[in-house]
This record gives sequence, C-alpha cells and structure tokens, in this order.
Amino acid sequence: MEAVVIGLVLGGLYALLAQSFVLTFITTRTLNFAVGEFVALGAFAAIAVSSWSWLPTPGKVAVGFLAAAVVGALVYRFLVLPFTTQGEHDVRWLLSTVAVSFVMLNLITNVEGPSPQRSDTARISGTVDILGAGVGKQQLVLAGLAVVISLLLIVVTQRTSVGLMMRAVSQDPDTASLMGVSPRAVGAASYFVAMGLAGLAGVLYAATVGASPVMGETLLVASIAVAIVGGLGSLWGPLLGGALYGVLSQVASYQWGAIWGETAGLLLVIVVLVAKPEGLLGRRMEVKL
Amino acid sequence: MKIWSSPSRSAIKLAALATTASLVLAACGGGSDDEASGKADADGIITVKLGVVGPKTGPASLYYEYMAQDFEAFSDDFEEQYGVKFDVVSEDDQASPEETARAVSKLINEEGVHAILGPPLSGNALQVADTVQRSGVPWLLAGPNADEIINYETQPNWAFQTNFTNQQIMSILGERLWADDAKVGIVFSGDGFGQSNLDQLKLWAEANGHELTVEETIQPGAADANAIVKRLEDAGVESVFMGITQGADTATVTRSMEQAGYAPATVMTTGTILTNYKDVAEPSQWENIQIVDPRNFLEGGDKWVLDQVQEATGDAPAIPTNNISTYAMLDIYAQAVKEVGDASDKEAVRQAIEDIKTVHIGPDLTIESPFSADDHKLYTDDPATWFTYGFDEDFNLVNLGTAAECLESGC
Amino acid sequence: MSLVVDNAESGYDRAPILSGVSLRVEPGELVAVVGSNGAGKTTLVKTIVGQLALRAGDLADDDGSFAKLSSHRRAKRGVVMVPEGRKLFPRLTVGENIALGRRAAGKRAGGEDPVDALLDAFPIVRERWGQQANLLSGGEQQMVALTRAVAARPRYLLLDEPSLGLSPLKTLDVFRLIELIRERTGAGILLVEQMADQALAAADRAYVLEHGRIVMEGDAAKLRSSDEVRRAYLGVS
Repeated sequence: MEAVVIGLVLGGLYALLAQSFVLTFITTRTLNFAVGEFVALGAFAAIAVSSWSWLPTPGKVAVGFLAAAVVGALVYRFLVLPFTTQGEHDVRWLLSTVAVSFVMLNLITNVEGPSPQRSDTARISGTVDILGAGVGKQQLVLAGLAVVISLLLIVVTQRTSVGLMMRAVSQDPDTASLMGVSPRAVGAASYFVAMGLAGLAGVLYAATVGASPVMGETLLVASIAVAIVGGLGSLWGPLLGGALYGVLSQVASYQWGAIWGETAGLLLVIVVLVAKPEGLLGRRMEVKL
Repeated sequence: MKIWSSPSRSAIKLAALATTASLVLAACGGGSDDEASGKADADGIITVKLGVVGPKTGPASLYYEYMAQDFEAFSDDFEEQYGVKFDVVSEDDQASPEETARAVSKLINEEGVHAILGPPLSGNALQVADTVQRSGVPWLLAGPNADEIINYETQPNWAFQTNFTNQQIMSILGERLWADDAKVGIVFSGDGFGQSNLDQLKLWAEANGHELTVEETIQPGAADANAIVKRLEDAGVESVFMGITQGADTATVTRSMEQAGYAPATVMTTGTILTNYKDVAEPSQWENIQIVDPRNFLEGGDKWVLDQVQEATGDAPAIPTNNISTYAMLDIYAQAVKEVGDASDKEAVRQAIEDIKTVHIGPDLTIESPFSADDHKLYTDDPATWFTYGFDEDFNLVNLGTAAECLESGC
Repeated sequence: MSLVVDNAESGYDRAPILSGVSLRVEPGELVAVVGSNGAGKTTLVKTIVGQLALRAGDLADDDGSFAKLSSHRRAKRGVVMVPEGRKLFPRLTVGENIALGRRAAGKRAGGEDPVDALLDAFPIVRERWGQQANLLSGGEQQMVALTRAVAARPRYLLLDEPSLGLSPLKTLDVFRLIELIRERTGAGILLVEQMADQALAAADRAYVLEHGRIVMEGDAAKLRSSDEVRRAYLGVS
C-alpha cells in the first residue's frame, strides 16, 4: 500500500514533465529533448529572484514558469521549426533539440556552477501521513499540481476556442491555416506552455532537491517513459502513465531493490510499445494519403 | 561555530567565468612552458611538470575544483618552502573512464609529465591503475578512497594515497556499526566509490564474523529513496552506513528517512557529506548523522589548510577532505623532488616519497614516516587517531571524540 | 476591386507547373477554371492561398498584393479555399469545424450571418451538428466544408473540385449550394472543376488551363458552346 501511495505521488512529478512532451507533440509532432534543462532553467530563474522581497511567492514561481516558457517559445521558433520544414519524415528537430540540451546544460553549469543550490521558493517542509505512508508535502503539491494542470489543459482544449485551434492544428495543420489559424503560432504557444510547465516543475522540485544543472536530466528518462506509456497524443496519457509507471517502479523497488525500480518502469514501456505502440490512451496515427 | 562560509552566488559566477576563461586559455596555450625541465634553474627553483587529471567540466566538476583551489592557495608556499614550482598540465576526464584513460595516456606519452595528480574519483582511478603503474610515473592519489587502486604485489609501486582508504574507514566503523549485534545496512552510490565501500564493508564483516543485512544502491540524482529506506526499515536495520559520492544524494536518503519516520540508532557516513549536502537538507535530517575521518577539521593543520583555501580563493573548500589530502600530497611530492634535485629522475623521486620522513599539513601538523614498500597510505586504521563528528543546527562539525572513545563510551 | 493573379509561376520542387498564368475574379462573380487532369488547376488554387510558393508574378486582392503573406494571413484577409477532398478535421464535430471557419472571419463578421441561410437551405448539416466529421458521407462532408468556408466570410472563395467523388445527385446539390453562397455572401468565386460542363453552366466567365498555361478565356456560355472546348473537355466529338 505504501509503495502504491508513494508511487502515485512520484508519478505526479513525471506526469507533469510528460505533459510537456505531450503538449508539443500534439501540436507540432516534435519532442523537446532539452526538457530537463528547462527544469533547471525554471529553478535557477526562481532562485535569481528569491531575494526580491516585494515579489510574493506565487510571483517567484511565475518567474520560473515564464523564464522557461519564453526560452521555450524561442527555441521552437529558431531551433525546432526550421528543422521540420521537409515534411512528416523530417526529424532533424531530434538532433537540434538534443543540441539545445547540451548547450543549455553547459551554459547553466558555467553560470551557476555544478553544485546544487538551495531553493526556498515555494518550499514546503514536513510530511503528511497518507494511508500509512509518509509523503513529503512538497511532493504532494507537485503531484496535485500535475493532476490540476492536466485537467486544466483538458478543459482548455475541449472547451475553449484556443483549444479548438490546438486540436485543429493537431489534426491537420495545413487545413487549419486555411481557417486563419497559424500552426506556427499554435506551436510556439504550445512550447511556451510546455516549457513553462517544465520550469514550474523545476521550481517546485528544486525546493526539495536543490537547483542544479543536471536536476532535470535524471527525470528525463522516466518522463519520456510516462509519456509513451500514456500515449503521446493524449492529455490524459501522462496521468495514467504517471500512475502506472510510478506505482510499478516503486513496488518493484520495494520488492527487489531500487535498481529494479527503473528497470520495471522501462519494461512497462517495452510492453506498451509492443502491445499498443500509440500508448494506452493514444490514437493510432492515421496515414495520410 | 561556523567555519567555512558557502561561496556567494556572485563568487560562483566569477569562478565559473574564470574557469571558462582558463579553459579557453589552456586550449590555446597548451599549458606548459619549456622551463619545466624538472631540474634546478639559476635561482635554485625546480619547476615540475605536473599532470593533473580531473573532471574540469560536467556535474562532478567540484572534484577538479578542489585541486585548482589548492594550487591557487598553496603554490607560492611550496615554492618558497621547498624551491619546487608546479607547472600544471591539466586534462579534463569529464568523470568518465574513457576520458580518464585518454587524459592519462596523453599526459604520460605526449606531455611527458614528471608526476600525475588525479583522477579524484575511485572508479576512474581503477581504470588507469595498470597504465600508470606500467609507465613508471609517480602517481599522486589525493582523492580516491578505494584500496583496490593499489596492487602491492607489483613492486616498486608508483601510487600513493593521502586520503584514507575504504578498508581503513571500515575497520574504524565496523565495530561501531555492529555494536550490540545491531543489524547493519549500507546505502552506496552506484559508482566506483560506492562499490568499493560496499566491498570493503563486506570484507570487514566477513573477517569479523558479521553479516551485512541490507545492501542498497542509489543512482546519482535519484528523485527519492523511499524504497531504499523502506527496505532498511523492514529488515530491522539499526545501523546504517552511507557510502555515497555526492552529498546531494546523501540528502535524498536522509530526506526519505525523515519522511518514513525511520530513525535508526546509528547513521554513519563519510566526509563526502561535507559537499553538496547542507544546501539541500534540513537540520532535522542531519541531527542523527555522524562521520569519521582521520583529519581534524576543527583545529590545527587540517583546519589551517581549509582556512587558507577560503582566504586565497574566496570560496569554501570544494571538497574539504580532498583539499587537505591534496595539500599533504603536494607537500610529500615537493619534498621528494627537493631531496632528489631532479623531478625527471622519477625512480629516485618515487623512492624519496616512499622514504619520506615527515609530512607537513599546515604549519603545525606532522605525520611521521607514513609509507613503506607495501603501505602507500598516509593514514592508519588506529581508532585512536580518527575523529568522530556530528553536526549542529547550522551543519557545523562538532567533534564528538576519537573513534576509539566513541567505541568505548558511545557518541 | 478584384482577386488578381498576375503572371504567376509556381510548382513542386524543381518542376514548374504554372507559368505566366493571369486571371481575375470580381466580387459576386463565379469564375470557372476547367482543364484536364494535371493541367495545374489544383496548383493554381494552392498557390493563391499560399500552400505552394509563388515563384514569379503577383497575387493581389482589394487591399493590394498578398503574395508574401503566409497561408493563415491570406485566409484572414478573406481569401478562403475549400480544398480538394474537403479536408474536414476528422475528429472534430461538424459544429467545431464550422466554428473554426469563423476564426478567419475577424472584422468581416457581423451583419446577417450567411451560415444561417445555408443551414436553412440544407438542414442536414444542422442535424449532424454534434457528430464527428469523419462519420459523415462524402456529400455531407462537402456541405460542411462549404459551410465552414462561408463561416470565414470570404471575399474570394476558391473551390477545388467540389464535386469530386460525389454522385450526380449530390453534385447537383453542391452546385445549388455554390449558387446560394454567391447570392448570400457576394464573394467572388473561383471554381476549379473537372466536370467542365456543369462548371461552365454555372459560371459567368471561365478560363481553360492546359499544361500550366491559360489557353482560352471568356464568357462561360460562349466557351461552353465553342467547338474546341466541347471536343477537348466535354467529351463531344
């Protein structure tokens, strides 16, 4: 039971990052492999303004979100979009986002140094007891946020005109532009929100583990796994994927040791890829003629 | 009592800029000048071409930083004291075994260095142990703790360790951990240092008729250690030893312990906790932790070294334990070169190191004749010479007594 | 005051398809472009809406040249296309598809909504309002695609093969709808069709496109009765 509770909570953090993969994938068919560095960027941005006493905590968290969001939109415009122009089989963005990851990692390390820095922004100490499991309040907030944000994204895409534009671009960007919708603008907005979410996760995660250049890197594998398990095309996917991955990896860790946790999670990915390549909640890609 | 202040953010940035700048300069200049003949010049100064290997870049770069700090703080001292000047030729090993192998072979074969300092990480040092031994270059191991790096069956042996070794710390800690027949668990990082900790703890346990109840690995940067802690708790472990390279990962373990409400009677770790731990942990998480170390961080020569580093560089010592062991190593090597009078006579220098009479750590701490042909370790495993430390609320070290005292009367 | 294509050249990759094509569409006018398969009809409309790059020449509407604008900006200016094969968003409902059309209307929205008139005339679209678009029949899909385009309040409407794949009966419906659109929106309509006879019958003027060039132009009724056109495109010997 304890493993299940903790797995669910931990899955929340991965789900939040998986959501940023899903968001960019839905609208642009690209994934930003530099997400880990945007986590760090958000965390360090919040630390940079931590001494501004006039800015309340939500404002500082917002700075973390915005810093990552703005850089995210710029990365899309200048480093992703130009490498997607050759049609659906153009995957040069794969290389360019990996390059962004390296460059950002080095830049952040050069400016901030490699050591973790303490971050007190939105730091919530203490633990709560849930069904007999001790859960850090900070982790609980992250997990809660993942759920709230996922639901919010789902409502926005289903119920608002912005969401309608997103879904249109997702289904057929060429025809969407015939409706006066700019697929590039929607793509940039998606990167803005997706990287903002990574930055937000960074701010909250750094309050637990400290901000360091590599803090996001270690979450990357699990987040991609969660996104794939849930399905890259579904905003519900990260919640289901996060829950499954989190619980499975924790239960395996409890049973056989920590080293088996991640292994079990990745085995889950393989099983899903074999049985349902589009992810549990994903939709099979239609082949366009 | 607060001893070393954390570097300010601007200081970190400056250091980062300086590091970047020096990297660029090193890339352009090649690092070495022609004066480094290893023989005395007109002024009687011997310039030594010293190869330094360490992770200049990447997440482990603190393990290079402490060496750079020592050169910055003490180079002039050694020149003044022994007439030995270090011409440092540095190579980046990026904390990877492959890069370490490349870096070491470049230093030996292309640069023709007189001695090699580093690499600081045990796993990487193991990787190149045979190469260095075969090449016949004095190997100054101020960082790694793994005993496995030195194979004393090969003589003459070229490697010298001025950090304590894992075998030593286990013989100091073993009795402490298994006191009253407590169940003992280890959490070790998934790298060379952690693995060596595990191996040595098991060896000690076997030799002394004990059994290790739980062995758990933590991967660098792990998001949580809940499962690890749970397994320790379920197995009824009362003594925990953490052999973890990065303090930040140690923090992950103690955070999960607090979360689970798991408070074993004894929690011991190593000096690695002095790096990267405090900033990401809470006082309630470290109040129960103790470390043992042969160095006296709070007074005398060891403290002097740390204070000098802080003063000269404006930053806290990057890895306090290693800042001290590097100082000791440079002192030993400089003395040996001075005695031989020619750094390029490597065999003579090696012998001089082995025969060293007095090692100086700062102005008033000395260690007499530490080495012999089959003992290249600076410290001994006599519990009377080791210190036990706890931490106060501000994470300042508190001397709880020698390891021997703690064994007898508890700490 | 007209949609002007001036000396346009365009095509795919290295192969030019259109060369030196010039034509104009006045507001309220129905202009047909006929020609055999591969003559460049689809290339022409795709170039006008910006899905293919214009290599030489110019494109202009009432507000001047729009040749350098991206596709979605041209739509916002009122140059609207119904693509070949309808291209409804398959997993959006009929209502959502039409709502998307309104995105392009912008300032031109307001006044009497021509969509209402269309829905009244063809109630089937309203009946299907909440249904996912890919569940509709081909004819129904074409109705929705036309309604969606009208929701964008087009000043110039480009129709690419609206009768493609439809039964003769449905084709009749589509032509009735086009007529109704012209009446209600006052838009200039450029109709690209392989069903040359019907297109010429409905149109005011027409162009004949062959191998990427305009080879004939003039009054639709006159072209329809010309021997050359009848032989080449109407299957009459």
